[in-house]
Amino acid sequence: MSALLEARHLKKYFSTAKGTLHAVDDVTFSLDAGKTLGVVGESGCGKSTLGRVLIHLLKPTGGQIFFEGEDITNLKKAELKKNRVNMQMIFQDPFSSINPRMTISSIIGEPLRVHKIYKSKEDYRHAVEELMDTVGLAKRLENVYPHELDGGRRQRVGIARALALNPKFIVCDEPVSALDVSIQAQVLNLMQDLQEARGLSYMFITHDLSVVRHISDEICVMYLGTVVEKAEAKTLFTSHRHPYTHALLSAIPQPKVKKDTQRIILKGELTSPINPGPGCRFAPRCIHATKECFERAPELQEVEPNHFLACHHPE
Amino acid sequence: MTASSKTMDQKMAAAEAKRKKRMKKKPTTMAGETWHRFKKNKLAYIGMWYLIAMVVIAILAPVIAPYGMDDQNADAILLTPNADHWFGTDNFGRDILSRILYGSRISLMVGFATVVFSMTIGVVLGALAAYYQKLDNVMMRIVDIIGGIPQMLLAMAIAASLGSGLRNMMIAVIISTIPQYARITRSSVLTIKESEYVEAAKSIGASDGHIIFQHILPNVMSPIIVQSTLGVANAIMASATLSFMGLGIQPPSPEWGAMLAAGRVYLRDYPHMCIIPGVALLLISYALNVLGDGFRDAFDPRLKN
Repeated sequence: MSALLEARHLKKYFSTAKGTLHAVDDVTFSLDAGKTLGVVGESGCGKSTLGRVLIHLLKPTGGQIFFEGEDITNLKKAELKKNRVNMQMIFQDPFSSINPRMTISSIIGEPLRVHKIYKSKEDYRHAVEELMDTVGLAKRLENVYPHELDGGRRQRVGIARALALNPKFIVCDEPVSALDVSIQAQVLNLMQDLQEARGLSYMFITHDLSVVRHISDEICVMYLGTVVEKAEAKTLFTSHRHPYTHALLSAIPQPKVKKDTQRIILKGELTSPINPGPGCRFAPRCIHATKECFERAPELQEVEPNHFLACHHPE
Repeated sequence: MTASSKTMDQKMAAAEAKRKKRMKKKPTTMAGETWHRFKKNKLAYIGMWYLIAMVVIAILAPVIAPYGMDDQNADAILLTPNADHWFGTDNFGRDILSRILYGSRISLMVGFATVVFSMTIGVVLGALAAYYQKLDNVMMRIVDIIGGIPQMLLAMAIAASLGSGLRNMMIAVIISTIPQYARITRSSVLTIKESEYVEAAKSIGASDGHIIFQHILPNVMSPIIVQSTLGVANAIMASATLSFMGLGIQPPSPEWGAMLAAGRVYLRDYPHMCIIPGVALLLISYALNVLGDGFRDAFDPRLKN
């Protein structure tokens, strides 16, 4: 079975006053239909940029994106609009991602209007009602404005909007990080139910490791624009081999009083993604770093079936 | 003790009832809430009604004016305010009250018409400049050049080069006020453009036009409305100034600025000829200013209560 979505050597550079910022640098991965790929990493590692490049909100600097085997990297305007039906995005902040001057039903129905999916008003209204029902929004909220809703409901509006075009792939950019923990669970469960019902594929961007474990099939760990380790969720949590992954996972608090966790505190700060040197991006903070690490960047290699790693000195 | 607690209970019940009533009445639309907040500002509310009254007066001027605007009466020259002529008469024996009433038509029309034109042009230019970065530099530099010249000086220069008259005066005021709207729109659009809901609209494949008209402009309207309310006052003052200097509407027309200019000669002996049109100008511009301030406060959701 071929992958639903595939990225090959995807790059996104921004030119800034100080030099070229390598936000996403040579990222390669594939995602099967109905699966969830979790993308974790600290702030500024290019997770969100990667998501935005995939759904064409940003133009990639290099590399290719394939959707159902077709190259969709450089689409013309009309083709791009058609392709947008397949891929949607759920945004991080439910307060800034919906227009405060539109009613809930018109926000949810906007994709349908833009793509002129329904000819008759009756069908359109019916579709919006169905979407609201799908994400668990009461019908009475149809004509209210976003500021009258709480964060969880607003995020449901965002999810309904993303579902409106019946996409196959959704980029979820930290969809629950702005929500209360209790509401996080509700929204996550809703997203999982929707995945099962509609066979959706998610790319789940987050820095919340417990969330990513809960929802992902595969997890990809990013550091400064590069993928350092990628494996099935279980494998990654139990037998990760990259020193950065190790440090990241050791930061998860354990609900045991006497367990002595060996937390690895990384020294130094995130190095600048502007004009990075030739070596491993993580080398300046890595405990195992040798001369080789500073001179030659390790390539992402399959060390076990379905376990990819980019490190000269894996643990 | 019991008595006081009883009154406490009553008070609380009354407060509760009041709260419920308010909840019930509380409007749910954005505009409704804005209006709700606006009404709390008494000064702005009065300003609004003054403005409405002036508009009604301007429309009904021929009906309510006691004399015609050009009726000269050689027997009643330079009269101070009295029972027949409430605001007195001028040096041609014309009734000042009637002239003020007719003059309100010119002032309001010039004020609103110029603002409608300069706002439309300015908003479109500002929105385009902010949305299409390539246009930004060229357009904003032109706007900067126009904006760099003091507004009044520019208006005078344009009016002087085009010649006097209502139309040319309006063109002068329009051109000299466009930069304000262009700037304010550009800065608001730049903020909204980066917002996630615009990104969301892009991700569903919405066209630029759809994004500008559905998402960006509705969200930048409040500062523009505020600016244009203040702009009407500004335009009225600017046109009165041009007329005062003889660059705008010419004397027989009952323009307030022109009336001021005519009265200037008689300022020492018959100050009412200047005071009355001056006060008329002052009041309308003050009303518009408090109204604009009221709008600004009402649109600011941080003051929400």
